[in-house]
Amino acid sequence: MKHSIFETLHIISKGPSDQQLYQNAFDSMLEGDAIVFTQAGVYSLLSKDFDFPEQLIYALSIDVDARGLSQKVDKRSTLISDAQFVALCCQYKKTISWF
Amino acid sequence: MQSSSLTEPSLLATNMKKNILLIVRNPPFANSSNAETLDIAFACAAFDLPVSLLFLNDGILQLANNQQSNLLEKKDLTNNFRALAMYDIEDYFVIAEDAQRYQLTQNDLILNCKIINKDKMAALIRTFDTVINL
Repeated sequence: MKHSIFETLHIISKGPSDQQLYQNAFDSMLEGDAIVFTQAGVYSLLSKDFDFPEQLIYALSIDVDARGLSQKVDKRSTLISDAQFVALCCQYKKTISWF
Repeated sequence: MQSSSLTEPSLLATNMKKNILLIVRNPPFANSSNAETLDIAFACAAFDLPVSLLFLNDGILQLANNQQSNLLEKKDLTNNFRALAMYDIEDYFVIAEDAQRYQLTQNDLILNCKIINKDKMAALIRTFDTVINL
């Protein structure tokens, strides 16, 4: 199967304590996928338990800032605006929401 | 729009038919999302869109037979899920690990599901154009 680099965008809006949801989401990922953390999902970027997957990781900056995390989030993630979020959704072949 | 043929309704109908995967992750009686997933399935069927269902995690419990929803005075979705076949929706998947965890075999399920291993799930999902996860 031929893969493009923009396959599936996984949108995770629950915090890392929802382990089953995270397990399901990560089991659904392949190369070429990416993750966007929204809402409480952005707390994953703080959690030491959170194993960073190899996929690209984005987080909605408005949700990061609103929670007072802007200085603390892991540098491996890219903070994005709402407009960039929309652009990513268009860029990838499909999106899957995990909530 | 460069190509005027794209606006032809007949072409729209044939070219844009996307296959859809609905993921059911909740046990019965938990909330309304399983009923809403069914609504989506029937709506897709009305438009002849190819639909498949993946019962993931606690979603497999929705398929357990011998449910007695009358005891809880709640709506039983068993017959609704059985009705999917009448709309030519017959492509169902469950995860072997979930079945094992809840000690469910094919004989315990109301639908005739394909059982796949968890490590095949990502590849399955990739084959669909659209995934709806409620």
